[in-house]
Amino acid sequence: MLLAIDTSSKACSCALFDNDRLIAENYIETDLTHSKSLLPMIEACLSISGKTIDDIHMVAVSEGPGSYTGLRIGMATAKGIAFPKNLDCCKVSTLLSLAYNLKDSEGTVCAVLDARAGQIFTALFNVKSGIVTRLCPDTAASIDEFKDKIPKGSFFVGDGARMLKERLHEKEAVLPSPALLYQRASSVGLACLSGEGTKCKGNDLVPNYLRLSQAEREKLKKEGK
Amino acid sequence: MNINRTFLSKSTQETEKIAMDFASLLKEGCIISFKGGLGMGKTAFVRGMAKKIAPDNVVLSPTFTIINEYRGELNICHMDAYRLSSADELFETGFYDYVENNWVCCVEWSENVEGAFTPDYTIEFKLLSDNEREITILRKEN
Repeated sequence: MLLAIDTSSKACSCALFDNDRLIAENYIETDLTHSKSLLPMIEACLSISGKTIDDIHMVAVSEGPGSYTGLRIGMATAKGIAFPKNLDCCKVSTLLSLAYNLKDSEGTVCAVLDARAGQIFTALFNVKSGIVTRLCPDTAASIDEFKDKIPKGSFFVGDGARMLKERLHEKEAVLPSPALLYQRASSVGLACLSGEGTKCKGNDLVPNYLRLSQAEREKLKKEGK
Repeated sequence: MNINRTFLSKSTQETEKIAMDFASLLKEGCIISFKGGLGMGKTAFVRGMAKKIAPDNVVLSPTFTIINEYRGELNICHMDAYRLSSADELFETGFYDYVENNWVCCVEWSENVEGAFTPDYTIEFKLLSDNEREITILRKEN
């Protein structure tokens, strides 16, 4: 059984897969911190499904980009579950998992998180016949730098989707239904089951914030980039 | 309260009163820089703010914790940047999670992380005597 976790944003979610079948998912978006809500949510999914922690053979988790503290809570929880039996883990890009929200649609998906001050974390994917194909790496960029890469009529998904659609109204972007607009653990799990993400052990779970260091940012600034 | 003003405080209680009046101006997401040396009353000022907008909290200096949280009508992130020296270190405290979730963020010793964020207000403390402080509140120009 696969346990999938997403704590990359304000929402917190977990999902259980029995082989390839989603059997339980828990999703909340409240003012509670993920450190208080995640484990009770996992326990509830297991209990309602008639499963126990011993039934889990792998843990998939969002690796970033996303919330600094949120990602660490998800990964720390994944590590804690994986360590006792040295379970396999799978870290999945937040942006890739967002594309999996729309894997049964057809077209270009622009997964986007708002990084403030006109900056976004983003990546482009093609979705067709249930297959998600990455078109570019996860990128931290300004909207102005990236906008020309986005085809007209793309799906926008992620917590930056509404903002970007408004900002780039000429792209005539399509927003999915609210249930598919934000990060969810079931999509992290689907990506992992499709062979995506990086397989590893608990020790190797480290967040990827997709953020340049201050030294790198200052170097780019000096170079006028 | 008219902002962009300087106040004279002769006690911790007066500092807290000035802060309570200031807090009535605040909206969620405000970022406030605090500048001034040791013992100037920065934490006392935050205590006064919390009395207005997050009263059911004990406000303590975040020198060792780096960040204290006070939840209320407006949530306050109370940070001490004394031990930080760069924007990268500020990022690694999780500070920006509070900014993104529209907490009122109070950053003591903000001069240590100058340029890492743009404050909506800057509050400067100046020592006049053992018991007197000059507190200047400046609002960011739009």
